[in-house]
Amino acid sequence: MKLSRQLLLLSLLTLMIPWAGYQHLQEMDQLLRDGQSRALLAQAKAVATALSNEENLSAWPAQHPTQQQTGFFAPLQQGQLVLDGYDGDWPAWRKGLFYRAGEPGFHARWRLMLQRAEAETFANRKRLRSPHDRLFAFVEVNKSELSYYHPGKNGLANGDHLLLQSASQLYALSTSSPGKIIARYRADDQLRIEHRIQGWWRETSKGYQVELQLPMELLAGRFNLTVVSDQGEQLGLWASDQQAPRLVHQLESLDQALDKFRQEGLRLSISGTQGELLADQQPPAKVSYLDLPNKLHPVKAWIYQRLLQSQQLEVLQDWQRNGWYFGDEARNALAGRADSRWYQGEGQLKVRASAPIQGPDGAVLGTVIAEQSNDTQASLMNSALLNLLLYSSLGSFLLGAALLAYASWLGWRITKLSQAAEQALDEYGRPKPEQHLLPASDAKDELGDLSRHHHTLLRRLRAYSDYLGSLSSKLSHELRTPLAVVKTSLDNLQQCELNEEQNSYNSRALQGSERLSAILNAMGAASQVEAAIQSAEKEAFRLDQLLGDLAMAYRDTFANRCQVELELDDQAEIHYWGAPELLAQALDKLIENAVDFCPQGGRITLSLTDSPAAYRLEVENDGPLLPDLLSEQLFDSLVSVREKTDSERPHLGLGLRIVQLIVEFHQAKVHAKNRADLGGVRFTIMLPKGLNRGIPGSAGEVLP
Amino acid sequence: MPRHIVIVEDEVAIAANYQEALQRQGFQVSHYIDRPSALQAFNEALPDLAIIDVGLGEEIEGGFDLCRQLRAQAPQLPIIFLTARDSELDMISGLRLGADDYLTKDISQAHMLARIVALFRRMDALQEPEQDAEENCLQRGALDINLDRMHARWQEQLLDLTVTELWIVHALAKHPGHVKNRQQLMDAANVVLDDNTITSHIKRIRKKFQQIDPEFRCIATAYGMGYRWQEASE
Repeated sequence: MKLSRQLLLLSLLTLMIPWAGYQHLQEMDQLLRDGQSRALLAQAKAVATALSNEENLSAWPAQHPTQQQTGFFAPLQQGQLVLDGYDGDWPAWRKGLFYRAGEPGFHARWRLMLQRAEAETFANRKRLRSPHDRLFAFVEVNKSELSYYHPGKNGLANGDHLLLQSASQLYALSTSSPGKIIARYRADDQLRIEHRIQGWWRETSKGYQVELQLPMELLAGRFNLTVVSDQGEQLGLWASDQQAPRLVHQLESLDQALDKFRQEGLRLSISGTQGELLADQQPPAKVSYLDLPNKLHPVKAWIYQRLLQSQQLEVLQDWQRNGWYFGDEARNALAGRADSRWYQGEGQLKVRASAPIQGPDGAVLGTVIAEQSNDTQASLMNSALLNLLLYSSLGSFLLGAALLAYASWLGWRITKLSQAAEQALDEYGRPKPEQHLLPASDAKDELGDLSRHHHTLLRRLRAYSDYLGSLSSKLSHELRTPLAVVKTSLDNLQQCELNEEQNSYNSRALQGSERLSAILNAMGAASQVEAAIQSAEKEAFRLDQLLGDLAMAYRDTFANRCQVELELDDQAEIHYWGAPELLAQALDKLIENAVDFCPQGGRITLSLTDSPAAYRLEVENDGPLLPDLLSEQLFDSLVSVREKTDSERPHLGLGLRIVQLIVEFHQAKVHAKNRADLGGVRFTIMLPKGLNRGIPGSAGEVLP
Repeated sequence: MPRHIVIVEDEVAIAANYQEALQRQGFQVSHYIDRPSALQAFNEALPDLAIIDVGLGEEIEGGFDLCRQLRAQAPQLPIIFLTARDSELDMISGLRLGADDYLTKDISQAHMLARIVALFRRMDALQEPEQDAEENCLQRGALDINLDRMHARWQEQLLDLTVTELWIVHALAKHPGHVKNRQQLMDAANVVLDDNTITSHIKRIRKKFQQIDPEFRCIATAYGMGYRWQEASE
């Protein structure tokens, strides 16, 4: 992994700062909310207590059923219902929000709604109080065969019909055909029609449905509905021959009682023992963050909402829509325990606290539900925390960026250093001349030290390599004078009169000095080649012919050692611009080297191939492989990978150095590799074509 | 009267060995250890031949200076440079200063003597009128070599060859078309040299011919083997 990436990862640790801030913020928020819910709970309890005192209990509806005396509940309808026999304008049939009775084959379900007179008069722009609060009912009956009212038959009703009970009357609702229903009742042993009860009867695919409307005062607080089939089967929750149960609905008297506790930002409601909404304050006007005196920046508000309101809270039940409320806290309150709970809805958090209202006998009559959103207190309190969060995020981002920048800078320096170190060596692994060496950095830190140490190291290596390069010629020069003393002395000694024994010693000494002389010559060879290169002139010549000549010569020379073969790409003439003598010398050295390593009778292949950018001159020989490590140093002075000893000829590792010098003079490259079949070694000289300015000559003649 | 040879050499042991060897051959030999003493001796009397070491004591190139001064005094005097150095640059500058030959110190005495004799022969020839064809002569096309007089001509013009070079040219021209390898050339030139030195000798020889005749092509390289004399095609 790159350094910059490592440090980037490390810099991610700074994200702990906003995370910690966030944790803190959440805890604070939790704390604040706990406080708020406790305060709200206390308020709910206070209201509940106030409502359960004597005075208020008188306002508490006498008709309100206790838990033992339940009855039908008619929620308050907000919009306007149209009496048409269809339920398109009714709230959806939701589980628990309607009544049902019956069994498969014959069953019914129905709903009730209370429509306040005000709601109706809104449409006429009159705020007149009509005495007509009306009850709406919608009944669906599943029945396969329908039969309608037959006027010829006697009785209050026949065929399929509905029975509606008020406090004092029983009405039979029937029709002789789908359409308007007629409500009949018996009074003074006479059948009468009650016109205030209106309704539509519609047939459906499963049976029939009826929408009803009647004034509340007709009911006098009690209501029962029974579905009767033509066979006389009755579907209902309460028996139709007893007094009808109470009709429970939202009470204006309770609303007024709650009004005393009205408070900004607080919504109080009262629910009955079944979760029926008995009294409600209009929901408090929604207080937006943006309306607060200390406005939150929209971005901050968004972040705040995202961060804090993403918790999984139950969605607030919109209980005004259906008039029922079954929240956990309300259920607990009905069981006698005051409780509070948080909800989310409409983009804000809301808390609901519920406290039981107890009658004089201790029975729970209902609950007070107080609702409050947290934005009023939270926004101000949290804006400081939010700022903390924002600043710490910003801080950690900047820190991360700074660390990344620092890492990049550091990485860049190290990369530069490593590149410089890599480039300080030429392709043969020797340090380049001083001006190309790694520059010593003047930075004061450890990287600067490293660079300086590298610089020193490379300079020394360079000096050492130069020294090695010149060592042999220096040595040969220094040794030549004492050798001359020995040789001339021996020459003189030969002139003296010597006996046989002395003569043989003398001749041995002479032989030895000859060999020493040869060694010295070989040692000086590299510097001689350097000198020769300095005075060498390039000329145009035929490379293929040169190779041909050389191969022939080598074949003769080494006939008793190994096979020398020549492989030429094709018959085309290859003209090259260079120093043929030097190239021949380089090849001599390579071939000598190859012959030395080639086993007796082995094969040496000399080849010339034409590649797009260069001529590839190769010398291959059977024999032992090169050690991997030495393959680059092979061309250095005084490096020899020779294992066998050849007493006849000195081997100082100078031959390949000469090859290298000559190759460099031609701006070419030489490298040594083991053959792919691992049966031998291949030396390759790549002669670049770009410098080939040769004029096509004839027959290998040397051109001026 | 024996010929007088002066050896200017800071290595006493070598000088003594040469001195004895040359004296054994009947030469009169004087030895000087440095440039001032040698110069003083030259001012008194000129020798017949001078063998000068390039490095003289503290003076690294004292031999060259001495050669320059001696050549000014005596344009015809044969001078042989003797050196431990084998750098081609030294050789070239030595020969440019007018030395007649340039040898490394490990040359055998036999080779040295052969050279000295040849040089004396050449000097004598300069003073003697040209004689008839009894002399040891070789003619190949435009080349004319007289081994007795130690000189060669190309297209009737005298070639300024050193003794070594003359012997090399002679060895090549003796059997035209035959490839002479480096060893053969060294033997012919009475010298032990390494391959590069032979190459540079050949190069110099070619240049000397080309000074007279820019179209000179007679010394051909047989790569990997040696050189051969190739008769001009016309």
